[in-house]
Amino acid sequence: MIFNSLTFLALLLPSLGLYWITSSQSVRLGWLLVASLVFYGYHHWPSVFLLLFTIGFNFALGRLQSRRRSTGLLVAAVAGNLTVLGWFKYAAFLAENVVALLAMLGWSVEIPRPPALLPLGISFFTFQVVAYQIDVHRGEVPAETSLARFAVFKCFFPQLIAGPIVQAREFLPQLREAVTFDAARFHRGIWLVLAGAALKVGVADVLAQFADEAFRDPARLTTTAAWTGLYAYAFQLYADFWGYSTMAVGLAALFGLVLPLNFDTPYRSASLQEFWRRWHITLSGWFRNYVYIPLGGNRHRRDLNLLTTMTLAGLWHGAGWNFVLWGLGHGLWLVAERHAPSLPGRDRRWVRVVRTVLVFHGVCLLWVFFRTPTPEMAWEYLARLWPHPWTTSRIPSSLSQWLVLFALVQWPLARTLEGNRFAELPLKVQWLLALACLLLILAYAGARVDFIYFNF
Amino acid sequence: MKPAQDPSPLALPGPAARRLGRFLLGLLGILGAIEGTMRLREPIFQAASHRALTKAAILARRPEVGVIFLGTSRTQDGVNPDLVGRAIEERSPGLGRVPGFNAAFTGSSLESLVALVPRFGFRPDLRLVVIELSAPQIVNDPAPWEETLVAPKTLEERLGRTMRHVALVRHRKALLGDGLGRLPALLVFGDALGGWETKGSQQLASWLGRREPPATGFDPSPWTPGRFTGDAPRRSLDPSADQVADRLAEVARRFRSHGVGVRFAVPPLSEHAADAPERRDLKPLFAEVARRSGCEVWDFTAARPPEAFFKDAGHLNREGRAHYSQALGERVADALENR
Repeated sequence: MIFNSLTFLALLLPSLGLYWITSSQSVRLGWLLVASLVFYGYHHWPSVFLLLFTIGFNFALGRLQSRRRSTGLLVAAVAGNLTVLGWFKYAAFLAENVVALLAMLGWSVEIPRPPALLPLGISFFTFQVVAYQIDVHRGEVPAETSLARFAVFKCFFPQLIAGPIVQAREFLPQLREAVTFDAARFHRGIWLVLAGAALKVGVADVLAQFADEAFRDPARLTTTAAWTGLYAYAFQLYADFWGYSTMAVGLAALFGLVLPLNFDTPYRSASLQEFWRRWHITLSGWFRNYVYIPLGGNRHRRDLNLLTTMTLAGLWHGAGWNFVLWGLGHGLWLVAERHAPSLPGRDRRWVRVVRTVLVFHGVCLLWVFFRTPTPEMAWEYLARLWPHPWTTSRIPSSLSQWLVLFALVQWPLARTLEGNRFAELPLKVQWLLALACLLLILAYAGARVDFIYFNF
Repeated sequence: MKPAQDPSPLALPGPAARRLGRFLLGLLGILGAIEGTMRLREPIFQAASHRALTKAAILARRPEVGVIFLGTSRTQDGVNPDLVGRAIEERSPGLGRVPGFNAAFTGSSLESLVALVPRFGFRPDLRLVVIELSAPQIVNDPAPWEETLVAPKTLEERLGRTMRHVALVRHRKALLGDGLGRLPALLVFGDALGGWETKGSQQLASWLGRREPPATGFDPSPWTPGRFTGDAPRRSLDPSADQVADRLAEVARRFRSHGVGVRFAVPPLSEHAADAPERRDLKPLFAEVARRSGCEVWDFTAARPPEAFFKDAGHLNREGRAHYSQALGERVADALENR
């Protein structure tokens, strides 16, 4: 079930009513669990069993770790989760490459392929529980004693499929307290859901038409069509995932719970390091805490740690060499940035503007690997961007207007999503903004494009 | 799990709750007002969803229309009915005032032409219809303006069908950029428009009563069209062109059955469109349309207007519109005289 569907809306409203009508926290948790399982199973009900198995497995290992802190248990917990993820997400990719490698060595081998099924959100919820197990092992988080609470932490529907990746230390304490109705939080939740849906339906899905068209057959693109197609994709991806994350945070707020914001206007970054502090913030934090720092962080082999972390981050997004190249590209850039000499005047406004433009275009170029299904197609697309010889074609005016409008609106919009800023605006402005979002959603609803990050 | 009690989940409203309440009530009020307006003015919002329906709605509001021009953007850009009317009055004062309307629209197709005949053609005051004959008019894809409703199968589809009871949802296409742009014409300017005004500034000018100046120094000789008449010899056509000729003849027959005269007009083309099918490949079709329908075809691709009258290979600019409207007006006057 996706957030921008009528079915979701039809189930959400009674769920909210039933949730707030009771004053018992146990009933509320039970209701959240049922709603989350229905939400997850609606798309593919057999996946619910995998989810339930993961809940049981991690709850049990968490409890065991709390009784006896042992590296063996941690390894078992992490390995168990990664095996499930590996089987569903990476086994086919691995088998394909082993067969290709053996074929290069002259051996023809047939390896049975696992079923082509990727349970929704598996990358997200696997990372969430891996973090939980490590935190319990480190003693930073007490193992959860209530199976129901743990289950809600694991499968709370707003964040189940595409994040934000919620940390146990942030979320479990909220479930232990009796949730009280907070009007300001509810107010914010409504705005976040509206703004997120408008970003998804009114921006991402509109730009998707242009991006899909450009990436369908790069060979026939002119230079201008290739660049505008790439801009369309860069903003589509941003609006799509930003929209989803914003809706997730807003939905949680409607249930009186707090999730972290996942984006902070990433395309205004003046360095790649800054970009990763603003883009998919919870994933960046996860890789920093559970991969980069354990590898040695800044203490030793810093460059290698960075390259490894970013390559793994690429692989997390998808089982394919294009994702590996995308992650490696980011890693190399981050390493280069760390070694680059600090130029005088780098903080002056115009220098920052130039750096922002350069970083945005660098990120865009790497998005080519992210969007294309194979590295070969990525190279082909990149070749079309090369401005020699410069070839032009008419840019659809709706695309250029949309890109400029979104590029300008994203910053003020992002500000309204922080804290209680929206509720503090004059009522007339609130109505205007909410109405604009509603009309945008209504006008462009119908395409019903899946969220991009559902694939990860 | 230890049940925790929330003693007052909905306690007395504090400032935040009051603010939330005002926000929700206000928003619902605004949405209710929009819904009410849409229900009261439903035909207008329905018409805003497609340019063809917009033209039909504006035409329906015109008190009197003697001539209608149908076609694609070539006709839409190229014909100012006010200038046509003035040319008619100049040439045949006995005909009196013949108000016209340009019902052509970008992307018009043969399908839409056939479908629009009842909406555009069956007015008691209508005397003549001039239908564009051109490659785009014949080959354009049909542009459906009414959503095809299929029987809902899934829960999502059933909910979607239920939501269509809300006018705001039903006419949501009117809220898209193009639809919004059409609303001023439908809500405000409609009565004053001649149908050729595509820009807001042109619509505003017509609404304020400002008229486009007629052609200066009009020289009829470069504007003489080629003519195909009903007594043209039979030409053999390929099967698809044969079907097109039959459908156009049927359109003409339907107009004529309501006492409305019909002429076909092939709009002028720039020299940059030297290879356009209208210049060679479509000539047999034009002749066959004239023969099967019994209606004259005026082929303005045979005319030689100056290049300065075009904004691109197929579309006239303001000056070109003035001259083409004058030339067309003279033809229309003759056609009305000979009815």
